[in-house]
Amino acid sequence: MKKEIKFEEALKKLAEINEKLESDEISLEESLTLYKEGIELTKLCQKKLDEAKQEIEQLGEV
Amino acid sequence: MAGFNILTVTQITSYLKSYIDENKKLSGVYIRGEITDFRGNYYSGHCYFTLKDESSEISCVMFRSYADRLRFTPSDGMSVIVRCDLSVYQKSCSCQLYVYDIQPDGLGAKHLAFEQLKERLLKEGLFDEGHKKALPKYPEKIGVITSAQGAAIHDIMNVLGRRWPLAKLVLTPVAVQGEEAPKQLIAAVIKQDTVVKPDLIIIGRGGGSSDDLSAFNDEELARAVYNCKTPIISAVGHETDFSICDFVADLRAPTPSAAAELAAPNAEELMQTLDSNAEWLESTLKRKIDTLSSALERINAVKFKNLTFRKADNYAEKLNAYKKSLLSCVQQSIGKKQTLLSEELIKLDVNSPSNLLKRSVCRAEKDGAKLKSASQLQIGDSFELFFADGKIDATVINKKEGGISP
Repeated sequence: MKKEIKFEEALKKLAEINEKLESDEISLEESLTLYKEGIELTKLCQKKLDEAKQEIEQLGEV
Repeated sequence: MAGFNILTVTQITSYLKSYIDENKKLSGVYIRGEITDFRGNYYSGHCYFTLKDESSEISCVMFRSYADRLRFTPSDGMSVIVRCDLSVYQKSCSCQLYVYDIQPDGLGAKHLAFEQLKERLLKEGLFDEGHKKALPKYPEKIGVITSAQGAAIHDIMNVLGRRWPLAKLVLTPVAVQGEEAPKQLIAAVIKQDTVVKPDLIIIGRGGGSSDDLSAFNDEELARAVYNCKTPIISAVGHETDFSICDFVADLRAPTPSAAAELAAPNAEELMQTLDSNAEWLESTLKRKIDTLSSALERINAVKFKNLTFRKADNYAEKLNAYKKSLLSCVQQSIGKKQTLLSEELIKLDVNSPSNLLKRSVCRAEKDGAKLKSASQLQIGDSFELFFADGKIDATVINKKEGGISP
């Protein structure tokens, strides 16, 4: 799992995983992989949210 | 005419002009009237028109330097209040009004200008819904264009710090009112869009008088916002204030705080969603495993059953075959034994006394039928005896039943 994945991408991926996991066409092995990936992504998102601190940068004069 | 003070035309008109010009009551006056015969000079940029009411009219001139500041285009029939000086055009000694400013009567000039600009940009398509960009759902970088000192930036920081601390804010500080404001706002929009490249931009300021907010009604700013590739939320003033910037932006927020709320989701709600997502993943997987394992059981059961049946059938067949072959073996061996036995029996029979008797003596017949027992003959019966060497006709003279020994 890449660390620099964007939050929105992670959520999008999660949605895809959910959808895939729901379908009957994937094998058990794939399901397990997807599940693991899904949990990883969930954790990543949670971590990102947990650790997020407001950061503000001020640019100079325009 | 000697003794009279004779004046030139220029002197008298000049006198009249200075007489009028010196009269403070005639400078900086506000005059209400209706515009007629409005002519803008294309080359000089000066505007000429006549101001009239029910009974009088007066010529007016508005020089370019003032006309350029007008935020609307005056037109015939418009009721206006002009701020002007009364003076004399010496060449024709015509008395006219030198106009500095025109305000629509009953409606603020800026308001009219605003309405006209809005109308024009609307027709041009700058407010088209189809051009509006969708906002990112989970922005990680939010550009903010507002004053570094104003309340707006604090409101935005407060709301985002609470709701969505994930987003990094990049502030481009600008003057949000005054002469410089439009230029700075435009430059900031371009800089955010091309250099900072956030997921989303919030442009705006807190409440103020309509003059304070007027920088956000700048036409060039509207175009910059329209051309901005980054989704942009406009939040100018209070809920009741509408700016051109609001109309052209992808989304209008009533206040900067509201803009911050619209810009990002609520992290707490999202956390809950994530929690339930994890649960959901788990339950889906569990369900999947359950389905698969029950399918496996079903398949196994069927297979097993089939296999068992097949095996049983096989066994039965084999058993049958064994049975058959066993039977035939037994039958064969019985048959053999029987043959042997009967052979033995025949041998035995051949050697039996009666056979010996039969073989050694003769064969008896009565009426052509072979006699096998003494009981077939009664006393007085006639019968025939066949010997190897001849035949005898005989008659029973005596008979004794029971076995005899030779």
